[in-house]
Amino acid sequence: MTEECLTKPETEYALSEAEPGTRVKVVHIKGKGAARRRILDMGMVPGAEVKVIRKAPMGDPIEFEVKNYKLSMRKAEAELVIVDILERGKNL
Amino acid sequence: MMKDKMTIALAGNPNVGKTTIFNNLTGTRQHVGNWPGVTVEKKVGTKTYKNRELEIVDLPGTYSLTAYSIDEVVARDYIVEEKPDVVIHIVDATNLERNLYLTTQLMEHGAKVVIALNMMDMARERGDQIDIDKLSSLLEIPIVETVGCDGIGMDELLDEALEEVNKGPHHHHVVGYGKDVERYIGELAIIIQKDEVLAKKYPSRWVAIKLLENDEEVLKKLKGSPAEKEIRKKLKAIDTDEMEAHMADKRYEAIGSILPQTCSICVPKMNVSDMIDKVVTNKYLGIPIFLAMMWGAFEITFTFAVPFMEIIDMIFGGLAGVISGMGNGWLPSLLGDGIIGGVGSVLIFLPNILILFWILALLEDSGYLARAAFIMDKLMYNLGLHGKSFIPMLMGFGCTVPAIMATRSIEDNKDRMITIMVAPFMSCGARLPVYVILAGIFFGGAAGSVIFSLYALGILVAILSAVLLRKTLFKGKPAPFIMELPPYRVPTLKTSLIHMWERGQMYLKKAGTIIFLGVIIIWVLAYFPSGVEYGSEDSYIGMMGKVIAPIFAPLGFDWRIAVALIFGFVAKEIVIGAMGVLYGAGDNEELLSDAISDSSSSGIYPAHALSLMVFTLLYMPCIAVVGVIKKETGSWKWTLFAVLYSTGLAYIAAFIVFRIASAMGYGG
Repeated sequence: MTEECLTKPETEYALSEAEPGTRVKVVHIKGKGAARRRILDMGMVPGAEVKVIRKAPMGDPIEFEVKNYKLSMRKAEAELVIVDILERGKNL
Repeated sequence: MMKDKMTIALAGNPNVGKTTIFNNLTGTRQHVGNWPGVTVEKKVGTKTYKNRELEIVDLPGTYSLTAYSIDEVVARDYIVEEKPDVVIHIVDATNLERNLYLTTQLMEHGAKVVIALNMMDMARERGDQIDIDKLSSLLEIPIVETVGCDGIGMDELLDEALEEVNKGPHHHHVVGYGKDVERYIGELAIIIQKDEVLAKKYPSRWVAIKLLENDEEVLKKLKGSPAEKEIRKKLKAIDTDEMEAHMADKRYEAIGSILPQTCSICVPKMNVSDMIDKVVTNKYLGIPIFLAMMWGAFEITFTFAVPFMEIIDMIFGGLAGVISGMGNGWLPSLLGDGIIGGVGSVLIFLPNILILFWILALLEDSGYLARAAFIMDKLMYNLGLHGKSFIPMLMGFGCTVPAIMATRSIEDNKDRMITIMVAPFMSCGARLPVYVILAGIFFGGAAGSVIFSLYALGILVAILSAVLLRKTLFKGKPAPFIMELPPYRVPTLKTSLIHMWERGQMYLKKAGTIIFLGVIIIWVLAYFPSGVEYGSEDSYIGMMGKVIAPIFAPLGFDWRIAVALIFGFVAKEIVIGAMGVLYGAGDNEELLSDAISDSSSSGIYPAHALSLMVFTLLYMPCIAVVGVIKKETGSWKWTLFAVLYSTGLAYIAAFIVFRIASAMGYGG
């Protein structure tokens, strides 16, 4: 994203906002540096399918399923992951 | 090319059974130390196999060769800089996709790799069908099927490794990055080759890729290189953020194209692990279960250890008494009170350490430790800490020594340092006897509330200190929380016992010497000048107490309490014993109680007692803790900081408490 583009496009949806049960597809990873690289290394690459499993009992971090394994991230990190929703979760 | 000695590195993701395979390969012939300059564990083992002397290095678990945590930097540097003859890459067969990501990076670097496809039994059990030959031929890497916990496939693994070493170098081309990016890689590689030293040391394609990924560590290696300017100019024109995502994407894409050809039915179903998690990390049950587990761990650690500690105390205490009573003069006293007492002070912590690390190993190997961090992270994050800081802090209520050793599981250095600095404020078991006696004498029925308040004060100071340290010396946010929740597994007894023993050994070797020395120094101060009563007014320690007494006067302490506090450095419960000697009560608690409860002669009123308890809670951690802080931080500077910070805080807090209590009329 360039600097001029300060207004968030309406369609931009962060992984941190998805409720448990939701299936999403990663569009891109925002930010810079170590956290971003780690997120990519762990398999949250553009195009990857991610399922939101559950939130921790206190609401944060969140558990996801990606590349056939379970990954947990804080909301702060999940905010960097921009996704498209494939299937909305039935809020259990 | 025949070699008599060869080096094998074991690499792999965390939780893939690497340590079990390492233990299988090396047996007891292993040495545990630290990697130079960092407190990451280095395990090296040796094995003689087919007339070869094998040196096997167990690298810290790593998800990628793009160095992220200290553990990963260590693992990568070893592979890149030390260039082991062959890397055995342990891959979890039940989680191929993410595991193979590291494989693509190892191949990219050009290291000789043999894959140990571990946990094959579990993969089969759940119905995965992996075509190993196909996978091996697509990756161009030999693959050996292993089951770590049953020791299956170990010889085959070594055979393949030996064979691989004898082969010439070969280049892998598994991951292609697309036309445009390959052009960048090619161009950069050409520039890199202009620097002969660099090009000789590292494969230039690998350096080019890492540069495109904006890898700081590799950028550092460029410093002073004749090619540096040209490379930086080239990189400026490229969007490396974009590249980073592109590279990761392409690696996963390459894996994605290999897997369907080699693995059928590799689709996870709802398994046991998911079912356990449904309960264990459940919104309502998660926290109660966690607390119950922690209560259990705490109870086992600190109650099961009691009989062992009593035996150690009986043997060493008894022996010390017999020997020092064998005659007059300094020798029996040095042997008894000094040396045997010193060894006893080191060993007394061993039962706690062994039991706690055995339990932690079981929790970690089972997969629960990751859930514990997941559950507690929100709370700890609000305090500027990491979910993994919770267990060390909790264990601090038992004993600060194992608590600080348990901070090893925290990857981020700042998170870990803060946890080490604040863990001593959690009131340990040795401080309780001081509270019980003083509160019992001076507060009678309210003793319980006083003791409870002291524990609460300790927690409060720990929390405030964590926030303060995060805002000053360890600036920045807590490290990102991006953590795998590995599948639950049944831990193996052997691996957990080896882990336990390693911790015990490490404690004895490193912290033990410091503790022992400290005890000897205190002995010298209490015994000399010769002829005086041990630890009395006329001994050096007594003189020191008198010298520093004015400093303590604002807290309400006279020289006797000052001396008792110096003794408390050995272990905090000794404060009471030392007071016994100084108030002429010996080790008789009732006499001591009589002596100090008479406020007009002892000078101790409730305000003084309160001040003393607060000071005992917060002031400089005991010598054993100082020993482990030095060992775990690797720095005398930070150790000194921990001592001064806590003592300074203790002084301020005791001063405030004393003044307030005196103003309220409790100061006599």
